[in-house]
Parts: sequence; structure tokens; C-alpha cells
Amino acid sequence: MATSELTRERAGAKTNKHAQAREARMARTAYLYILPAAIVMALITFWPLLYQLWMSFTNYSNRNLRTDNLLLQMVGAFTGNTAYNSPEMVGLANYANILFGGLAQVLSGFDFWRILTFNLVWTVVNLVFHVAIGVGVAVLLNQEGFKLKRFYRSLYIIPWAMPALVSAMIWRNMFDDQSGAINQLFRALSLQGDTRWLLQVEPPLAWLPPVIQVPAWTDPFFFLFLFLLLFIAPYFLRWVRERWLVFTILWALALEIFFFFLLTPLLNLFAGLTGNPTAGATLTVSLGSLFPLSFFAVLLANIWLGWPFMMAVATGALQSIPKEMYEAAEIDGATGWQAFWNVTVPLIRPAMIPAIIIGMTMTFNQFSVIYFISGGGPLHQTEILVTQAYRLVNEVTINIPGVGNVRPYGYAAAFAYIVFAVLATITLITNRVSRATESAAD
Amino acid sequence: MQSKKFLALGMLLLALTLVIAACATPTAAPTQAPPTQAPAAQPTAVPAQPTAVPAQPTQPPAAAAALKLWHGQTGAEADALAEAAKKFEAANPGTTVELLAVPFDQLKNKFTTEASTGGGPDLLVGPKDWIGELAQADLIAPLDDMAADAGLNNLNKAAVDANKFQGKTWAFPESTEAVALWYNTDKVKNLPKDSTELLKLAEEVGLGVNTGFYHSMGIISGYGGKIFDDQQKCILDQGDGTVKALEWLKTAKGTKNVIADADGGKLDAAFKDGNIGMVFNGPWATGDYEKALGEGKVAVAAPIMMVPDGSTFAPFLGTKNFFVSANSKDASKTAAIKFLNFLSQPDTQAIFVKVGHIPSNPNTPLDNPVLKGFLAQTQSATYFPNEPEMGAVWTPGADMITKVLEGQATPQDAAKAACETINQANKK
Repeated sequence: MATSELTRERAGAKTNKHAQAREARMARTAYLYILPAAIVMALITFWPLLYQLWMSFTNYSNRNLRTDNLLLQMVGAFTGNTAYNSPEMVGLANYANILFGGLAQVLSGFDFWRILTFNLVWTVVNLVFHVAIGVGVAVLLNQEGFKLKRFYRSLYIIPWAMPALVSAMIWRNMFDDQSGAINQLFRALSLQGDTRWLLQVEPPLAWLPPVIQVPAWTDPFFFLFLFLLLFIAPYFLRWVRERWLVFTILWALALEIFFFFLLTPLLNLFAGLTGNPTAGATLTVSLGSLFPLSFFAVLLANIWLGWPFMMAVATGALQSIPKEMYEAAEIDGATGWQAFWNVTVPLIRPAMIPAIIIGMTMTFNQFSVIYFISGGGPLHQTEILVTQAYRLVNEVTINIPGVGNVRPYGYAAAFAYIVFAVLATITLITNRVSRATESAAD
Repeated sequence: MQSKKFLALGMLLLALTLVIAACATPTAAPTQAPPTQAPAAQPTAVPAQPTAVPAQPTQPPAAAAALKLWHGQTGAEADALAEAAKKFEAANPGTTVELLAVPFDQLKNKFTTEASTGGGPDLLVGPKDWIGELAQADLIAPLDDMAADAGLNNLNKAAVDANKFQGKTWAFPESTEAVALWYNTDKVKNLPKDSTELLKLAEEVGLGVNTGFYHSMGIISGYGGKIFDDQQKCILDQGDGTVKALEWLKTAKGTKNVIADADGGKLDAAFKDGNIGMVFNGPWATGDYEKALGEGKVAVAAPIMMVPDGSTFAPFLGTKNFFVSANSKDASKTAAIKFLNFLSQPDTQAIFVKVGHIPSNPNTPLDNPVLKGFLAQTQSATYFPNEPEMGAVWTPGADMITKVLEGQATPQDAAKAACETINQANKK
């Protein structure tokens, strides 16, 4: 008995070791298979990312393009060796100038917090429409016995399949105020047909809340950004989500009162305490002022472009829902709407969450639609972070002390990393949220 | 089972074919493979073979040279360049000219990337606003000590001086350009002589005014406004030239039948459709307009006077340049300089005249009335700064015009704000 147990134990131990050795071998083989792709990725993706990170800490410009040895140029920036045309290290100066206003003085129409807020609201509004329309149409097309299902599905893929540049140019022509299709349609219907979609500077909904009041010496859009952040933050708590209606009303009111009445005196007090001179003037800024008419024009175009993607993902996810769930819901007396919220939505969520994350990244950086339709809008009002980065690389020269009037590639690199940081933060938060809500639903 | 084997075999053959095709094409792929090249450059006289595997251009004998030229031109202009290259090869046996057409918006980037590592072409064709950037990055070579060899002495002095930067000459100006007033000969019978008459005529026949900063400079200079002083400090807000120009633009925008827009394509379309009878545009539109409306139906008016208290409409004087790369050396560089000299000769300039280029050699025979009109305009033109400080002007300048046209600011405030941003960007 004892011997056989021992033998079995030793055999178990040996099998254990065998298993471990086999696993190690399989892992090594797996790594070998990944190695070619990893090498290629390291060269084309990670190495440029590292180089760009280095660039963002220097005053790199077009003067530093010519070099005999790239690696020695990078090292030379740290050691001060100028043999390889190295730029100088400036530490965090590039980032500081972008975030705290230095760049605004030299780049016409640049206001970082305004652009960031605009970019975030642009992303959220787009995604809401994309998902709503995409899922809605997918559900409609998924009905039993719908004859032209395949035809409609193929038709609706067309916007997604067209190159974004082509779509953007056509939309831009449609929004032309004199000969564009949209205004011509309005005129044919005897409506006012001379709306200057892409050129009107006055925002149409300038009164849209929230409205904040800040002293003139601060950046108003920073506080607007703060308002939105504070408004959204509590919704991560389940306690808040369960009482969302009451909480929303009270919290919105509280924030509005604070930001409209109390913020200015508080900031002036703070400035007085730290000895900064304060001007008497205050600025009143509303959320509506961020959105000129061209925002709505570009929004329309991007919604048209973006919802087929969500529809495709939702269609795939809908196929995996067994019909029995709906039959069970019907037996329990659920209406169509209830069936949708309690059966469809939770079951397509695992597919929609990654789609939303992808959609978020694509929309946040949607360069072609913004640049080719509104060009950044009348007077830079519809600029997003990536269009500003493009301007920094291609359209602007800045005087860098000690270097001259050059294209500021170091600034552009810092810009790109800031965009990366924002997107990474949003993605991490979204991941956390989606897991949290899933566990709430279980 | 068998079908699987056949499938596998088929895929293998396909993959093999692709690999062979990829390895066999020569690395530098010229867009035009000049068939006349065969007798000169390949003394082994291998006839042009379709698979191109053995016909890799081997190092030609010592006297010959290969000259690489990158350009961003398309259509008729690219054909003219190819014609000039062919004539040069015929006149210089043993020298080959390899032309590479790159989409224009990628051309500068492509050149910068390759030249900064020591490669790239010998000659680059580009507009003159690239001079500051490329010279600063040490990617192009100055032409002062080769001026005579390159034929610079045959050219219009204003054109050569337009390419000066920090005392050196950085490019060969093959042609000059400036925007002028195009008109449709069917619609416009009496030409306006000044800016007020222009707007009155515009009410009847239509006018397209490009409100981009580049085009508007003609009006700003016409009223006496200047961008920079000698120290490259912005002086747009000094004097009343800019203010008067912005006010004129505002008046023009409010005039009936005037389309004032920064979108050149829109104005082009309106002119070609016959909706407007006049438009401000440059010689690059010659082929386009003549095709749409007919040769002889479009012409260029003499420069108008800006009134009141102004002088003639004076747009930026641009040049279409050939840059010599800093990496070009030995036989290729000598060939490149010879090519430039060839380009400066009147009969070569005549090839480009046919596609609407205004020749920079004053001895070129010119009887095309449209080009003669542009030549007259280039006599009244403003220096287009090569200094890199100019790079900080475009966006604030465009914003200044937009703000005034949209009623967001008075001309004085807009000009002041623009100069503030420009001077801060340039640290002046």
C-alpha cells in the first residue's frame, strides 16, 4: 500500500515535472513563433514611439533632420555632443507650453483646454448616435421574416466602405452655402436656404448650459472641462446610478451654482492671497459657445460615416442570442421595449464594449472628417487635437531660442504623447467601467 | 484530398511568382522608361526585355552620368518636363535623366526624409516657399559659385533674386508666377482700370475673389501694406494699407454677384461654369480654364489700380524652382548643373511656355496673350519672403481676413492681433 502510494506520489511528482517541462517547451515554441512579428513590430512601432518620446523632451526641429548616426544623435542630446547634429534637451518645457498656455501665444487660435473639451464632447456625442442608430437598425433588420435583410445590410455598409477622404469632400460640397446640395434642397422646399454651414462664426445654441463665470485672467475652458469632469465622476458609484434622476438634478444644480456664482470670488481670493494682481473683469462661458454651426455639420457627416460599424458589430452579436430568451421574456409578459433592455442589451454588451472602445479611439482622432470638411472650423472653433498636431508639423514655424525659425517637431511629438495619454486614460476608465457594470448585471 | 494538393501547389506557385516579380524589378523605378535610353546607356545593347531581369542598368562607362529628378507635377506639365529631359539626353549622349513623379503633397516629406540620410535625388522641383526650410536643414546646395554654369545669368534678375536667402542663391527659377485677373472674353468687353470699376463691373458679370492670405497679398500690397520690415518684424498693423485692403475685401464680399471665398476650387468651378466672368487666379490654371471655356475665350487683364490712394495690384512673385540636393556629387552633380543650364535656354523655356509657364529667360519668344498678360503682372509684384519667419504668417494672416469678413473684429484690431501673434511666434 505504502509503496504504491509512494510510487504514485513519485509518479505524480514526475508527471508534474513532465507537465512543467512540456509547458515550458510549448511556451518557448510559442515565443519563437511570435518572434518574427515581435521584431517587425519593435522596428516599425516601438522604436519610432521611443524616438518620438525622446523628441518630445528636446527642441528637435527640421534643423536636426540631417544626421550621420541616429543613435549617436539621440545620445548626443543627453551628453551635449554636437557632432551628430543633436538637439538640446528641454525637459518638460514642451509639455508645459502646450498645457499651460505658452503655445497659445505663438499658434493662432490655440487653446488647449478648449480643444480638449471640444474633442471629448465630440467623441461622446458621436458615439451616442453611432451606437443608438447602429444597434437600433441592427435590431430592426434582425426581425423574423424581414425579406430585404441582406440587401439593406449591404447597402448600409457602403458609408463605411467608402474612403473617408472621398466622403468628406462630398459632404463639404453638400454643405456649401450657395451651391451645396443641402441648401438647394431647402430652397426647393421653400425654406430658408442660405445657411452658411461651415462659415458661420456665431454658435447657434450659445445659451446651452452649463454656464460658468470665471475671472478674466484665467482660462475659462479649463474650468468648463473641470465642470464636465466633476459632473460625470459620481456616476461610477452604484449608489448614484440607482438614484440617477434625483441625483442628476441636484448635482447639476449644485455644480451650476458653484461654478456660476462662487468660483470667481474664490479664485480672486486665492489670487489675492498669493499676491497675483487681479483684474475686475469676468468672463461668462457656456458649453454652447464651443459648438459653431460647422460642428453640427461635421457631426452629421461623421454619424453617417460611423454607424455602419456599430451596426455590423451589433448584427453579429444579435445572431448569438437564442430565440428562446425572447420567447421566455414574452411569456413573462415583457413588452418589446423591456425585452430590448433586459434581454438584448446585456447579451450584446460583450461585443459592443470593444466596438465602442475602437469607435472612441477612431472618433477622437478623426482627422479626415474634421480637416477636410470644416478645416478646423471657422476661426479654429472645430479643431481637435490631431488637427492641431498636423498644423504644428506642416503649417507653422516657431522661433526656438538658439535654433531659429523652424518647424517645431519636438512640440508636435509632445502633442502626440498628450493625445496618447488622454486616450489611454479614457480607455482604461472605460475598461474599468464596463467590467463594473457587467458585475452589477450578474 | 487531391484538390487540396492542387490547391497547395497552386498557392506555392503563386507565392513563388510574386517573390520573383518583387526581386526582379529594379529598385529605382522611373515613371518614364525612356526607350531612347537603350543605345546610349547600355553599351551591351541588350534590347528592352519584358521580364527586366537581366536588363538592370549596369554602371555605364565613365563619361556617362545618371541624373535623378523628383517632381510633383502631373498632366501636361509633367509631359513638358519629360520632353525637356528627352531633349537633354539626346543632346548629351551618355547622360540619363531619371524622372520620378511623386504626389505633390508628399514630395517635400519624401525628399526631406531621404535627403537627410544622404540619399535622394540630384534635382528637386518645388515652389519657393520651401527654400527657408530646406536651406536650414542643409538639404539643398547654394548655387552662387555655379551661377554661370547653371545658366543663372541668362535669367530675369528679379526671378533669380527671388530665390535669395541669407545672401545666397538657393534655387534655379525655371518660371515665375503671380496671380492676376482672369476674365471671360464673351462676358467682359470693357476691362476695369481700378478697384472701384472692378466691383461695379462685378455686379453685372460676376467676380471671384480668393480671400486666402496668399491671394489677398496683391490687394494688401496694392494699398501699401507690407508684411515684414528689414528685421522681419511684422508691420502689417502699421500704416493703413492692410486696413484699406481688408475694408475693400469686406466691400467686395457684400457686392452682388461677387463670390469671396478662401476655397479656390469653388471659384474655379464658378468661372469654368460661366457663373462668374472674372476671377483672381494664377497661370497654373491656364490649361484648366482653356479646356473648359475654350482657347481665346479667356484672357488676363492688366493690373488694376487699388483706389483710393493705392498703387497697382501687386501679388506675391512666386517661382517654380529646381533645387540642387546637397547630396548630389561628382558626375551626377555636373550633369544636374548642365541640365539647369539647358533649362535656361530659350528653346527649352519654350517647351514650358506651352503649358502655361511664364519664362524666366527674358529672351524667350512669347506670343501667347494669356502669358503676356501674366508677364505684365509679374512686373508689378511683391517679394515673397524666403525667410523662415514667413512660416508663422500664414495662419494668423488667414485668421485676420476671416475675422474681418465675418464681422468678428475691426480691420485695425484684426491686423494688430495678427502682428502680435506673428511677432511672438518669431520672437521679434
